[in-house]
Amino acid sequence: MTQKEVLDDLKAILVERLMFDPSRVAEVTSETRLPAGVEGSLGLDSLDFLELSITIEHRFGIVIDGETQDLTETFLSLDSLSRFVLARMGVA
Amino acid sequence: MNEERRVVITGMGTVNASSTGGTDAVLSSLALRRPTIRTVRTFAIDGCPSCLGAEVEESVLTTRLHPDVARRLSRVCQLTVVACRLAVEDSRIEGGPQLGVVVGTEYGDIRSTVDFVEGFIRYRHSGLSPMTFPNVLMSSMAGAAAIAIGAKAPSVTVNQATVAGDLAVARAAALVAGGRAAAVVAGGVDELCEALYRRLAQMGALSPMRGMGVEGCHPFAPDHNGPVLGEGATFLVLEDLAYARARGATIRAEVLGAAWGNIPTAPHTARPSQADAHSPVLRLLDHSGIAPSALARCYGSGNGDPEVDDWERALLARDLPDHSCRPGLSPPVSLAPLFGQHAGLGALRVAAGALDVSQGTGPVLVHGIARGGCRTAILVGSPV
Repeated sequence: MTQKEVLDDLKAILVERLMFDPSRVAEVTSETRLPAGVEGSLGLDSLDFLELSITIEHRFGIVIDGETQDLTETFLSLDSLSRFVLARMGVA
Repeated sequence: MNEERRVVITGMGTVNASSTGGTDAVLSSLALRRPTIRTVRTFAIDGCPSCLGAEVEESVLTTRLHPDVARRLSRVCQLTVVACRLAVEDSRIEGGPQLGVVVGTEYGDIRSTVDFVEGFIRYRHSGLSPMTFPNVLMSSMAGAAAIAIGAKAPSVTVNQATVAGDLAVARAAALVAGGRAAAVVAGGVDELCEALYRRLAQMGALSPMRGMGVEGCHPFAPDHNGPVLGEGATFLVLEDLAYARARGATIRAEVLGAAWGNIPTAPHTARPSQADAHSPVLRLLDHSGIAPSALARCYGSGNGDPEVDDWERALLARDLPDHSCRPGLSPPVSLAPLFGQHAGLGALRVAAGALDVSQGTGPVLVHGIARGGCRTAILVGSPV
């Protein structure tokens, strides 16, 4: 799986599970910040990240352990998140 | 209601199949009587014994909610939030610790509940959506509304077939009269969704019940053969008279009294007919000192369910024996043909009564009876 394919899947999750408007997601780049409270970010909050985590685990067949790891940097952008997914899949 | 806590109506907001807006929208939808019941369009009805419904246009919600807000709200929560905001704007009341919310709903968020359960059935625990879960709670609409309008006084949800909206308004009046809140945004909401619609139709709970006659909504008429579902949300702002006057609010009408109770009956018995030993109508008239002859009109919950229509008529005839054939009082006026059966209809009945008295009629009785025996009565009059 390539990083572009992961990015496309993550964008699809934003539409299908986090209910973002497709036109809004189309404007998101791999560098767009995800967390709320950051200027220009997509504005995800804790519930969004929970939904995102569970969906990623299911979609990519990986485990995200948020209890023993600080995932703040991982969920900063689609770029960092896609790299994390690829690493967990053993691709990168 | 005691002298210190008289309850008045200072605003209304509605999202229904006919119109969307504040007092003017309610007024116009009642006056225009635009037909809204038609073949359901938002989901396929192939093979379904019923096909009619009163639907709210999707554009009504998308144009009134910011996408970032809308994406986190289920559709029934969106209906609630939009109607509550419209009511608050209509009343020009601020949020805060003085403002409460009471939401009545017949079915709650069935759509989200189905999605949540299907997620588990298909994918086990990984299919359980954290974003969907809050919506399976009956209180989700009240919570969303309270956040949207900044209401920090009590937030209450009531479930009841047929009279959920009436019951919500009655409970809100009691909260204000009892000093628990200076103002309460109260009303009802339901949405049409395929799973619910199909199941009710298959159970024979919708027109044409038991396959009899032509499908349609004809309360109290000889050819009544079941309700037609509608959807939407209607909310009123009920407020302490002194509080309303102090802030210069426009007072539409006064809630002279509100009462509710239950007639012991077997749930969903085929033909309910029991008398009411503790009629809320009689309690209200006795408490307010208003004679039945002074009543200008009665809005009833009759929605075309033949047995409950007949029961409502019989109950009112027992309570108002000298007026059992007075047009507009018995049989009562039903708004179900205009909007379809949903919890918002109860609040629309109260709103209609408030608009009647604001145009100079005498007191209006808003009456409700559900098949299970829950009975409500709200008396609306002109503020003196």
